Amino acid sequence: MPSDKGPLSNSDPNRDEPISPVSLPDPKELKAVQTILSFTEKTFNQLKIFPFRHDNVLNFFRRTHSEITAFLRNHPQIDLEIKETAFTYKDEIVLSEPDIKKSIPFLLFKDGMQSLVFSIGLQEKELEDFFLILHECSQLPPEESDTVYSIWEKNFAHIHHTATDLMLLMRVKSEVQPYEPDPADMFMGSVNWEEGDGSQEGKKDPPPGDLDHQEENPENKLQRESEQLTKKSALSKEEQSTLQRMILASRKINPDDELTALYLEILYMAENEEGFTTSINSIAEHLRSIIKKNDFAGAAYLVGSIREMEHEYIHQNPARLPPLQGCIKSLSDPLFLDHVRKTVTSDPVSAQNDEFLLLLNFLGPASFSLIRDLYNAKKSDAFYLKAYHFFLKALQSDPSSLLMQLSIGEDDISRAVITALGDSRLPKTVETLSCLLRNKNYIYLEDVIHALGKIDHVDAVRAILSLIGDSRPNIRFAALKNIVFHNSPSLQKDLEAHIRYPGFQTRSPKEKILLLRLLGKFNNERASTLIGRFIRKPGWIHRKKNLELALISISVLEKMTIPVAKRELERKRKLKNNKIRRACRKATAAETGQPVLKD
Amino acid sequence: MDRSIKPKDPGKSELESQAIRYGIQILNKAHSISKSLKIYDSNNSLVQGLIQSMQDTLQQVFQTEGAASFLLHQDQIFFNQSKLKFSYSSYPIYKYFMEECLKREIGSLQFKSDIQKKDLESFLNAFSKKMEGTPEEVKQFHDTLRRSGTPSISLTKLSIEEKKKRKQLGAKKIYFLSMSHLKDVFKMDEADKKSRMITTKRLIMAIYDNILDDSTFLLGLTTLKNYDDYTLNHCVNVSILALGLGKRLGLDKKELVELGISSFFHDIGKVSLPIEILNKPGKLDEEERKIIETHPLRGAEQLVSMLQEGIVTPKAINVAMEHHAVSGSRGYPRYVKKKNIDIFSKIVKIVDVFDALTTKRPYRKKDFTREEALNILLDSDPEDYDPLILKMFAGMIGICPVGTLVLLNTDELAIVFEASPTSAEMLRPRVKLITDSDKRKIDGDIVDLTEKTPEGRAKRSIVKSLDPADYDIRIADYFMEHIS
Repeated sequence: MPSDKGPLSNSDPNRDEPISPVSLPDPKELKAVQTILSFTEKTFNQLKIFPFRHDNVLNFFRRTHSEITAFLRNHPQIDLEIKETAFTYKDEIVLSEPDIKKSIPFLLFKDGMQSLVFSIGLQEKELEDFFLILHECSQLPPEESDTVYSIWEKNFAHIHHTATDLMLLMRVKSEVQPYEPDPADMFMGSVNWEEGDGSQEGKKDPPPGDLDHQEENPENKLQRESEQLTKKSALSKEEQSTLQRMILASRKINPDDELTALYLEILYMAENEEGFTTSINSIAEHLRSIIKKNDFAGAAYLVGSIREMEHEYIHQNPARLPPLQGCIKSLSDPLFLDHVRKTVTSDPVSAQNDEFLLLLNFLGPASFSLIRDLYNAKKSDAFYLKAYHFFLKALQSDPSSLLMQLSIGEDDISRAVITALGDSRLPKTVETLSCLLRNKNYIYLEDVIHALGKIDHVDAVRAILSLIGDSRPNIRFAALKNIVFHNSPSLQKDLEAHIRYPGFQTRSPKEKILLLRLLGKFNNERASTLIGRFIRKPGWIHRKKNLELALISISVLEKMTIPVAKRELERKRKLKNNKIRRACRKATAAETGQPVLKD
Repeated sequence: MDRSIKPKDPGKSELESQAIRYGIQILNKAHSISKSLKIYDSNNSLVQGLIQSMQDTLQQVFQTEGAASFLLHQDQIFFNQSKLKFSYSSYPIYKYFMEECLKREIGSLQFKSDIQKKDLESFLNAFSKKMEGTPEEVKQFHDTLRRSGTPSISLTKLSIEEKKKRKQLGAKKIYFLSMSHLKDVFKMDEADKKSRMITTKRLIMAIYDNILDDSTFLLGLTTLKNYDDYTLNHCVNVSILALGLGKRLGLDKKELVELGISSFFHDIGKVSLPIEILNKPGKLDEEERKIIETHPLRGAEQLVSMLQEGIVTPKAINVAMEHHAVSGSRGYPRYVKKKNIDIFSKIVKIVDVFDALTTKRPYRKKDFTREEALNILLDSDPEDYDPLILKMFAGMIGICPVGTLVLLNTDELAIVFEASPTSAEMLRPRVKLITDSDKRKIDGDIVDLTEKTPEGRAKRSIVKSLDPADYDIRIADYFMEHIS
């Protein structure tokens, strides 16, 4: 068989009179077809930019339909032959587009379509569907689309096509020869028939439990069996609707989800290491594919399952851990993350999805930087909030990696991490946060202090305490506001040292209140004595400040429950300052139940 | 059937070779004229020249052959009783003539020696007109010729039986082409598989179209067993049966194509299994059974690689993986996480077992008749098969399914060729008589069991179904012979 000639080659050696066209067919007719195809192409091109209902598309589409309808008034059909990148009508090229990426003829040609016919009666809806098929197919990679199939599936009444001929295929390739029976064997001689074969007692035994019918007339028996089968195979209305539901449910299954489930089963069942490795590679590929489709829920499920499997295999099947871990590692690979980044940046809305963050959570620490990038690209409050929750969750599983991220940047997303660290209330985060405090110029120092304040740990308090002597009032104030009381002698000592420090006097009243209240919480004699020192008759220098400090101290002592504090207040009632005296009286009156008398 | 009316087979004699040459020459000229008439008016000098040339050739034929008649018989074109042979290069001429004749329902075409150029011209004008082959168009074509009065050209219309046979012939071709193609796909490497998968799809589309036209004949072809290779034959049968069942279940066109492809490859995992185990007579030992049970997984693994190339859909992997699965602890493989079994898998599982049961295998003493196989399925554990789909399948197969050997009340033996269209007349299908009442083998007619005597009684009725193996009858032979 000559292989250099295509199966549709027209070069017949017997042809003795080759046809060479000498003149063009009716130019008007040709022009009309060219116009139709020109509008067809324009509609097709517009569909690449706009949806079908857009005016730009509709204008060209309606024009295409009206041109076709007008043509079909005078001709039974438009019969187009499909060449590689051109349509021909009556052997004349009526549309040519050599760029196969844009070419409608190529879109049809590549799937084996040989001709396309529009016939009288073509409905607008049919043409719309036809365009939508063309558009849909053009959006897919060539190997994934099949225009012949799509048009076949649609079963158009007035759009016909011819495609690769099966009979021709049969002639081209015939591995299995059609079975040819031997007529002599079939039509000569006799059947080996024995006495009794014709009755029901023949060769076949009656079915068990059917002995009662042994004497039954064979025809009746068959009739009965037929009725039984009809009964057995009849579906009740309920069964019919169950079946219908089953079909509908099957239609609703997402093929990617189905595939994910299958991949995981194949992986679990893999017979050998080679099969396992192949499957895990397929899964990685599948994961990329579903991420590309923004199916983050599916991707998260898949990654989660792989991690789960890894966990199981640590003890059950350690031999399979390396490929599994290799796959997991590849997920943290910059290339993979770049793939995720590209997908999400092409559709930023999808980054808002909880599923996306869940996926990132499974992908582990390497994905943290992705969150940062995505937030910085969009700066959305909603995403910030999601990022915060993401970090909070990530902290539960892998705090150290997240903490490492903190050293990376000083942007908004760092704040989310710091807040999350605080909200996690995990003691192990104290060290990292404390480290940040050491950088006195860190822009989110207040956030760090706030975060530390949420952690009920003596080291957190100590770290904050280190800032109460800071030169910046806002930092000092933030530190004081966020210190969590811990009844630790060393803390008290530190605090007392601050209070004794001469600079204490220059602090704002708010700071003083906070400091003294904190000291007061120790509720011991030493604290009471130190606080009591500030209750004295103010001199003329810094009179106002001293009075203020005395009054603050009174209020703190008032809150202390130890007798020493009460005694201190009693003692200070005698001071020759009305305001102090009145305040002390008031504080002690509440304790003793005596009315506060006016001086 | 009168077997003597078949056209004689072309021999090697010089006369026959000459007839073949003339036949092809005439068709070639008709083809050229037809192409020209699409572009030019019939008065065009080029067209006129070609018609004159054809007229001259015809005259030459009359002088040497004495007649010029074409006969379309099944897939062949005969000229003056000699079968025309076409090369690949002349295939378009064959295709053109065959298709145009079929569209116009032309069974034979005879040119008479007194043929005039104007008769030829009007005939070719009508023959060249584009048409789809709708009944109205066919009627119009024959009416036009009758009105134009071209007595020097006589046509006979294709008989209904011939038209039906043509469809059946198409079905047969699809059947063997499917096997051939599957064989090809099973042994080729990944890269080739991809290029051939479009053919798979086209084949399934063709099977779909055929089932839509006349499902019974294609279902009849599934009586062919163990031909060439069990697995190939089985896969094609399963595919056809699955499409038939899927259609009954109301699956849409797209789903049916997917189902067809899935069932086509459901046993692809068996290709890599040792043939000695697959064909082992007797019971398999534990180790062998384990190997056999790996085929769903192997199949799924193979299909995964085809999936990544966009060749098959996840459904095909599902089917390869699940066609032996049973919810619960039986069946294989057993899923670790996946909960549901796909509806396609449930369909294929039923038809797979049905086809396997009705096929003679080395490990089983006998194969079962279709009726027996259906009863086995219906009597099995309700968990084994989806009960609703099984019911639908039972309804499709019926009590006397296509391909059943039956004894008639006339003592004749017959094979069910076409199921009755109504369930009320399930026991009155069209059957082919294969013996007379004395059990002598005959090439009998296809008779309709609904036919009645003038007294209103049925001419023939089915008494019982028989096991063809007991009488050494190969059912598939009759289906193949019917269209050969």
